[in-house]
Amino acid sequence: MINRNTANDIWIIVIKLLSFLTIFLLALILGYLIFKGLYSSKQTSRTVLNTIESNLDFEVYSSKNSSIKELDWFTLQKMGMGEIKNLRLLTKENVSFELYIEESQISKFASYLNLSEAQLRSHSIKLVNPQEITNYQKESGKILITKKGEKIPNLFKKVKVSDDVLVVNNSVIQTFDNKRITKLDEKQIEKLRNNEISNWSQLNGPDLNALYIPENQIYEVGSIEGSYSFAKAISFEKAGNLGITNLETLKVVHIIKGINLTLKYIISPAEESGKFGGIITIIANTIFLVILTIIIAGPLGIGAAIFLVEYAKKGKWTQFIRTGIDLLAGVPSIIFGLFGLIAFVNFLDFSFSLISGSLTMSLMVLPTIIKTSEEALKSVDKELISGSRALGATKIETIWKVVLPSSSKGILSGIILSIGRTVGETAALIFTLGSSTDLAKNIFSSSRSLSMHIYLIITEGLPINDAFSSALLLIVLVLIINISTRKIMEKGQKKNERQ
Amino acid sequence: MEKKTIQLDQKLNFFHELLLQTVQRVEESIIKAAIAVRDHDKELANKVIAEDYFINQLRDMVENDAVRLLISESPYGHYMRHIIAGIKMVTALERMGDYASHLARLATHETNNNKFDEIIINNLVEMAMADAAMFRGAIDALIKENAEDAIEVAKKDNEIDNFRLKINDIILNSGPFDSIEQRKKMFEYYYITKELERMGDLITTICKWIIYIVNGDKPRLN
Amino acid sequence: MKDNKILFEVENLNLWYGASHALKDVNLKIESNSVTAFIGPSGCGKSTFLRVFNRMNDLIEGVKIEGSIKLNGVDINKDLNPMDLRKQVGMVFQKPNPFPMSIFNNVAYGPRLYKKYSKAEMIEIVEKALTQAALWDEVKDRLDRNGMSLSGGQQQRLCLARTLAVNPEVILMDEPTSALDPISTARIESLITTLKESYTIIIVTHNMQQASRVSDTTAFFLIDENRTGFLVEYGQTNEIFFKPRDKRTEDYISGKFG
Repeated sequence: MINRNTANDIWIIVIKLLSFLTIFLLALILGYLIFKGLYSSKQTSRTVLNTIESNLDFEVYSSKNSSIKELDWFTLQKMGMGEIKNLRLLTKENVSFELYIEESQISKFASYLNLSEAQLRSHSIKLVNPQEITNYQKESGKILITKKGEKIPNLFKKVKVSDDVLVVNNSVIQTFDNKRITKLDEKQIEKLRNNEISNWSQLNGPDLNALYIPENQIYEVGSIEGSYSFAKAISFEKAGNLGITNLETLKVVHIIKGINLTLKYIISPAEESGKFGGIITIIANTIFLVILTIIIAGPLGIGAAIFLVEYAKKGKWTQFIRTGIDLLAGVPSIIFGLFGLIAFVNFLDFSFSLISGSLTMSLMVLPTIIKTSEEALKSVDKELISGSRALGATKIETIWKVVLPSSSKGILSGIILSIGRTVGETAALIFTLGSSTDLAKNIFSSSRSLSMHIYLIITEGLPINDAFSSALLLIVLVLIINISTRKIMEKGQKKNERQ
Repeated sequence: MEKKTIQLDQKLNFFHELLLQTVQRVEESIIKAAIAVRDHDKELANKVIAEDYFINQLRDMVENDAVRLLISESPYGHYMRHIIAGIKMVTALERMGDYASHLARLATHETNNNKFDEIIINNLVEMAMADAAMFRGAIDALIKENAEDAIEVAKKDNEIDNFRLKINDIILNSGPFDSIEQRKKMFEYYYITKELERMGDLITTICKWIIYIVNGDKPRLN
Repeated sequence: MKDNKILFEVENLNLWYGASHALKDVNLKIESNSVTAFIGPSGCGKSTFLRVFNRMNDLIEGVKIEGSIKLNGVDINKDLNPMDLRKQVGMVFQKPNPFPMSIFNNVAYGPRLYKKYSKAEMIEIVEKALTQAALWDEVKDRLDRNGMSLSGGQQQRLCLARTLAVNPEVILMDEPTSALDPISTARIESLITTLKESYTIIIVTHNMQQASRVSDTTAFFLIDENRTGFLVEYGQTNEIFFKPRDKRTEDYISGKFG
């Protein structure tokens, strides 16, 4: 027999546990999003090995504000051969590329890349005197090759160069028993280096003995099955040039950890449908959408609520209207999207645009605004209304000066709910808003909102990290809108207080 | 509200009872004093003088109860008038009680063979009885709360006044005196007569307050 | 007594809430610069009757009025706009109801409905109203504080100041102190006595002591067997509470029924 006090205590513990669990889950989800949004790890595979910095007798610098931190030998070679015109493929920056080489280093650089000096010079590289470097401002897209130990102005930062590769006989990468080695991870590479691997089957490969060949005998790798060597990329190329066949490089798993969401990303405009550039245009479009929706739905909803509370007579018609509002609140968003497509995009000929999207969203959030406003208006003390009328105010004056200010908090919560819904809506907007990532020029421009962007990132095959950074931005955006709307309202209240 | 009604009526009834008690004791005193004087009954006289103490006690009780009622009930109308009249009446009643014991004191003196004594004392007894009769009328008017009766009673004050004139006449013509004691006695008769006449005025006052209870008027009577 | 002019004249007033007959054949006159109290048991219609004077019953659906009420000879139902009427006839309610605004804006609310005032003019009006309501000294340093932050008694005086600010002729008070403590009650009562020199006051109260303390004239209402309210008698307060003409009044003031 549990007595009442004990039962009370048990229930309190249960309630506390449940709420703690809820908060914990919330924190978990938010935390995960924030983490993935801010810090990403991208897994790719590349040819060069992750080694410590190679010993070069020149130094490589990139523009300070570039996101290039390291380069592999192959890319550097392409740069030297003039095949890289724009840095887009390497980083997200859409900038044209320029290679600067200090006069004295040309020959060193050329031999490093297995190119002739003439080839280097002929592909529009710029020769540079160290003194001239100070003239170059913070433009991006420059790689600078200089003398070792040279003092370089703060506009440039050092870049690591990796040029080691794992060369294997092509028997190693054959398909064997439906299995095939395509790439190895760091641990496996380590094992290889430490001579722990005797047979490729240990690494999920063919049943061949793993035979180590030192770099200076790299040509043997072409002839011995199962053989491998750790060599410089240039050696590999030279071997290929000499006609040694059956030489392959085994790719390495390369994890790029880095900051996902950068300030630069936030404030740069989106380019080429979001493949490159930043996200500010999409953010701006989202804000436009929200503002337009609130401008349309706000007065309509509040006005309808005022009518229902203050003017509507009790009867069949009022009940009918209320039922209609409740129905509208339950309709799935995709149906609003379809309606918007037919009514606004096609019939009214607004096409995919901000106005179509706003009108559709307005319809969706109207029930919410009407209901919360109605509740807020009803909760105003009847005594206040009497007091105002007794002073000679008309019904409208009373509503404007007393009822609305008193119910502003409740109405505002409805608005905030609507804003949240607008920002998060995807289905209804896909059919009505458009998909352009450019800044909307007027209300008839096609545009894209942040949540739509997340959906389209996945469907258009862009890196998923972008989706996370967009998601983080979305949450932050909603937070900012909520806080600022509240602050504006509080300021309005204070203004009402003071004289 | 039923409970409140009963409570209020009960409180007023209690007050009214106190008032009536005072009234009855005073009536008794007047009659007993007159009898004591007529029969030279020293014992009876002393009783009257002793009981005056109780009349004074009753007056205090009435006044205290009145204050209590005024504070706790904040009465209006008839209720309020009753209480105020009661306070005023009980002052007059206490006076009347004093006069009755003064009258009774006569019976404690040594008797005299003086013929004037006899005549005067007989007249005094008659006068006191007349007061008692008038008082009886006032008491009836109070119990019935009848204003017309009170007015009628007040008219009887003339009779009392006539008695005084008569006795004064006898006293003035009652010379010569054998001793100082006799002269002193005449003075005493004079004062008692005056007081018995005052008693009539006081009863008239009581009648006024009866009319006040009934309809709030305070008419000039006589 | 002063020979005051007749301000309100009520003739054969009847009021219905829908089908229910709430007030029957009320006839009375209100003198200017006097305090009139309406007393009677709960439900007898005295508050309803009070609301007739500033047509606040119009705000309730289904109310019908017959008979006439004239203010200075003008029929307030037929010949007067309710807004204009309420400018002349103000009201203080039972539960203090200051607006959720600053004290200043509370008092300024009424005047601002009718005219645009300059800042200096408004300050003057507010100060005068708050002084008349005996509240100025307590709030003059915090006029921008929210009106609802005041104590109960202060709030009620604020509501009074609010009413006074539009400079009405009449102030209606519906049980103005029933929600207040004795000291606040006493303050308001003494205010009523001061204010009657400049205004005419009608007060509904269920507290007979209050009615006898502050009013010059008292009107006594009762409810009949059909639940309709009617006027039993009205006259000088001293008479009503000392020797009323009607036995029903006598019984009520003696506490014979609530």
